[in-house]
Amino acid sequence: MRLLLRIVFRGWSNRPGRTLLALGGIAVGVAVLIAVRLANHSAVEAFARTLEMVSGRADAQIFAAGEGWMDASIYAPLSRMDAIRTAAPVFIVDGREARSERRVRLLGVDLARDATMRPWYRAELGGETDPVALFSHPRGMLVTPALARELGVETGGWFEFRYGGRVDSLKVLGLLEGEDVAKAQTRDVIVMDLPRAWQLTGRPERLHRIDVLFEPGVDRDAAIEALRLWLGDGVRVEPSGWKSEQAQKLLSSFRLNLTALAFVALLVAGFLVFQTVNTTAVERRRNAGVLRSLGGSRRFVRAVFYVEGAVLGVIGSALGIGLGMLLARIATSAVSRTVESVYLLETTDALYVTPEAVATSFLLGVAVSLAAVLPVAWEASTVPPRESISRQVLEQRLRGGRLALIALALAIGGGILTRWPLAAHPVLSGYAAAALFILAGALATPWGLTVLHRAVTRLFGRRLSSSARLALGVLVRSRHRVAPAVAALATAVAMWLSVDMMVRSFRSTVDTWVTNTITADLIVTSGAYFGVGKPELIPGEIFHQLKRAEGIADVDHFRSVRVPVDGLPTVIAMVDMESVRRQDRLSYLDRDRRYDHPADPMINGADAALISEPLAFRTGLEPGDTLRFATPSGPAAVAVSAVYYDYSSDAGMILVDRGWFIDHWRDTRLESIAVYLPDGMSLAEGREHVNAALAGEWDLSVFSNRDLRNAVLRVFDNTFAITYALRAVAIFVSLLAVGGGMAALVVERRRELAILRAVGGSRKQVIGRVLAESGLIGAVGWSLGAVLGILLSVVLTYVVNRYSFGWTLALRLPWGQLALSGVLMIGAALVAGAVPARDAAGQTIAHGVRVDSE
Amino acid sequence: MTACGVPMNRMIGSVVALGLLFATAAGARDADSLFLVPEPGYEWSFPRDHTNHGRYALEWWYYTGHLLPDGADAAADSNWAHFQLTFFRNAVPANNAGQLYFAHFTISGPGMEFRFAERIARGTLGEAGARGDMLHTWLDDWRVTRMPDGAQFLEAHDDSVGGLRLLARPTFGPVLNGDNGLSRKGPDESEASYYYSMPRMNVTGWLIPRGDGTAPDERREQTRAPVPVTGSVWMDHEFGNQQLGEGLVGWDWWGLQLPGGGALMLYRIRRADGGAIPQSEGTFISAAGSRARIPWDQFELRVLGTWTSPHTGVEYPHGWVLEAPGFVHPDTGERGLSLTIRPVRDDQELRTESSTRVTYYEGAVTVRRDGFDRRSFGFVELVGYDAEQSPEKTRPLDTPVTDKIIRGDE
Repeated sequence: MRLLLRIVFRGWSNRPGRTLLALGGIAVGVAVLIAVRLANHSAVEAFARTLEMVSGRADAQIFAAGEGWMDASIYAPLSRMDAIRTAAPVFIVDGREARSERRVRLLGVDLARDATMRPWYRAELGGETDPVALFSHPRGMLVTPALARELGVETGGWFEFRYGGRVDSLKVLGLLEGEDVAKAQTRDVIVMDLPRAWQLTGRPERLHRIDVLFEPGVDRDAAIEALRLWLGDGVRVEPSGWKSEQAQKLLSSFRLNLTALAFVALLVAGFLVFQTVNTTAVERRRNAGVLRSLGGSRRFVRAVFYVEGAVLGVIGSALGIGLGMLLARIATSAVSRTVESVYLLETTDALYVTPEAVATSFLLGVAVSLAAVLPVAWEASTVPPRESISRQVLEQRLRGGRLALIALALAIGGGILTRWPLAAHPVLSGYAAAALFILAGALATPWGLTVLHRAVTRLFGRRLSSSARLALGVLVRSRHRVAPAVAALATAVAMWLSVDMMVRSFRSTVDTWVTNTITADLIVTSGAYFGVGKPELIPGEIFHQLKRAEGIADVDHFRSVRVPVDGLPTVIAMVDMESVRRQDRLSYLDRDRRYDHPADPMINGADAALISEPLAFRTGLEPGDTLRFATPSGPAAVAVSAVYYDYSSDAGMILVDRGWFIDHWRDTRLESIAVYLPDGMSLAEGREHVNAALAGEWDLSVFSNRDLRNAVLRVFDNTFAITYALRAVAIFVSLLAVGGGMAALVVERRRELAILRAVGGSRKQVIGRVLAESGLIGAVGWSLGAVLGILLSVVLTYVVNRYSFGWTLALRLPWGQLALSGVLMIGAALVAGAVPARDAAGQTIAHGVRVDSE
Repeated sequence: MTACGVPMNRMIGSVVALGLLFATAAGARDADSLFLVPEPGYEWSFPRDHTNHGRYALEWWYYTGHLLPDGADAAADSNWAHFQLTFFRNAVPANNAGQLYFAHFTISGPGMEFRFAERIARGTLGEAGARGDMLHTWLDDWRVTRMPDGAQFLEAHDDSVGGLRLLARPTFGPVLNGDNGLSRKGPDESEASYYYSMPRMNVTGWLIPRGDGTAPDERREQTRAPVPVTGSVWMDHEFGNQQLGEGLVGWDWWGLQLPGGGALMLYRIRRADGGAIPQSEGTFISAAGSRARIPWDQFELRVLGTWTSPHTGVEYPHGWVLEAPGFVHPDTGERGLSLTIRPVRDDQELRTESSTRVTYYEGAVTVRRDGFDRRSFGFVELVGYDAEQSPEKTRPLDTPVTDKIIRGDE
């Protein structure tokens, strides 16, 4: 073993730069993987822990279907049930701390019952605190220590709570404490006595949730079933933890997409390792030959490479862990922003490190490194000892024909998966197809180089300059060394282009959608809305105030809740169907032809709705079909009047009319109000009319159409920030690969270059030769990458995206990016080649010529 | 719905209930003006006064009773079951913050060791409350309701304690304690409560044996077949503004059904030095319902022994000889009363950590009376023996102890 390591390290000390590149590549790959996995994990974990803290020790939760409220009279009979040990009622108000605009959820709880459920309250209170005061102060509340710290409020201080178009001062009576609070790292919860919360909001006798703890010995599932039967249809009873499961489901596509991107980064790193080991292999081949001549077994020769791969993998991955932890912090805040803004789940950007994610990423790093070494080890050990002394042999052996056949098989496999994805795992199939395409591209590279050589020679023949011919020849002859660099480059370009294409198509689709949908001139929402997540609700009467107001042409509104449809939380939005008809701003994929306008049945009071494309895709519903879901007033069945284009929710959306919603949800509050101004009225004038109509009674924000559109796109860009970052990492790693490849190539051909000088070639000519080769490698890698990128785009668009998000995007080739990536990659290859070229040109001829026989 | 061993409950309990039971006179209730202070001259009216008196800060309904399964031999003590079911209402002493309700429930025998359960509720959601128009006081599924015919229906159930459903019929009207129902609880005039008793109500109903707490529902149902019982119940109803005055540490209370009919209610309020305040007194009720007040100084009380709780280490007096040589029977003119009182079992201590957070002894006793062969039953309540809970060690409601205090003032 010591001998093995010595051989490996000797190889490295001869080529420190390249070894560092390989280590760096693996480190970056592993780091990205760790960062993404931890970020993924943290977003869900933070959500779950927040939930756990908030739901406490409950066995089950009772709540109104569709995020509505329950009449408080449901509580007393529950509290008398034998099987129930404690039932803790919860009343929820979402708002913000007015100064920091931080989202805050106010929980109104019954302190007498809540303590059993949630160990939030100071544990050692006996004799220290006056608990009676907890519910004695009309505006008193408890706050989490983290929130108090961040806002700089202290016990006895005041807290400005903005909600529903109002701001109220709440008095901080104390801090919530306990292990759960600390563990959850939740900063956004304040707790108030239930009757006090009712008084504050003027919404007495309403509950949003009841947390239930059963008596010991009670069969939980049976008791939940009994409660369901007993409480009827307007109410849902779920085992605690159901919400986390829902969140996991909701986020699964998003998380899978991120993980897959991270894998691509690691894959690119794999090429880098392959390249490094391969170059050292060439140098070591003589050693290997000597070793074998001296009686070293093939196994021993292979072992040298395995050890090298393993050591590279272990060191690189270990470095990657450190780097990954740093990156994870950034990634987590990016991911949690997405989770909050796109999926509307409350989470925090706390980082939760799972040893399991770190360990598997580490092992994957080592595995990729070992896998990269496999072909080299196999090749080196099968070369007869005599042959290995000569360097040219390998080039002849590796014509690439057989590899190209394997590549073809992989590509066909990828194609099949693209065309017919596995029904159970369509998204996974898409990624598998993408991976197969990438592998196929890599394996086909040597063959591709040969083909390129032939094609160029045949096409241009004698017209090629001698140096160009030489450069081409070098490419083909050294393809085993060039291939990994080209493959890495191609993979990175492919990823660049495909991700970019997807994000761009996505963005332009969203942009079009926003522009078409938000046709209103002004949008009125609660005090502070930045387009992230859901705005706080505002009273429905504001809608009527505006509707009656002068100088306003039309008013529409928006309010959404989520109900499960086929197990996925699906958005139900309350709109004014008459306004939908008047503004006619939706575009329809398919509609019930019996009606003049798809909004007609709703306007006429029928149980009908419009559904979005993702929902139609997911459920297979068509116009005329019946859609069923639960509401706080019991189950509802609505006829699908039309399917419309919408990209705001990947679980899908249901549009219902105002009257219908209010009947079923008994709630008139709104998220936003759209105001249409008469033609020719300026925004400023319109704003004045709106403000006059509201008479300063409410704390509201009035956005212009453009403000909101920008806000939405800003959220979108935030969301994809992490995707761009991953792409940048892949490009970075591939640039490392190009640099490494060029260096390897030059070093290996020192003798050749020296001979070129010896026969009268100038320094300039030598440098020109090397640069020509580099440029060619860059160009070949880039072209291959472009082809691969288009293939991947097809996969991403038609498989991954379709099944992840439920909608199709128009496949648009990003010409600008194509050009940019070409310039960057070829430029990088030239730069990477320039440094070793200068070295090569500068070496003493005698030394250079001696290289092979030293 | 039990709420056991939880800090918040304990903390609510500690202060509120100590307030309930031990509130000191000075500034105990900043909202004094909101609540009435008991005064002489109250005009009693039943059944109205069985109901809730929301203008008084504190109120409780106390039921203790003795039950014999149908067909069992009444002479054997071990055949009897004894229970306590108490509802406390306590106005939260600040800013009209509503009420806190507590309830305590115990059962012991036959064949069941003494066990207790406690509950706490705000009553904001109708899960607990006390009506002001009829006697209907409840906390979750524990309740007392007065029927139109005057009978009171008691119902309570807890997995670990067992349950009962009883119909109690008074044999005579309510007996006012003290001076026209104004019962002094301290040297100061304002330290008093309104207090009456219904010492002998006949009950019929069912006793529900306790489940073992771990058996699945089906098995529990089988072991829970209700046992028909008959017996008698003592009801106490008290309301007022505060309880103990300064320098007072607790009280002993006896509610005894007497051999040969009739009953005796007696309490003494103890000072820190162990002596009783002179306002302590008793009420003798004859079998026919006549009443005689007996001042404390007419009694001679001899403690027969002590019992130390293995749970808390608190030492309680255990067994008494009670004599009132100067007593004159209000109906017969007969003189003298001599009783020997012994707990039916040792351990009848309640440690109400989740509600009132007071450790006290509320136990069934046998009563033997000179000149009568048959024994009868009663209950004794011993409060304030836990030195940890003495009022000196208990912070008054509104005095900050640390800077971390959560306060309700603006």
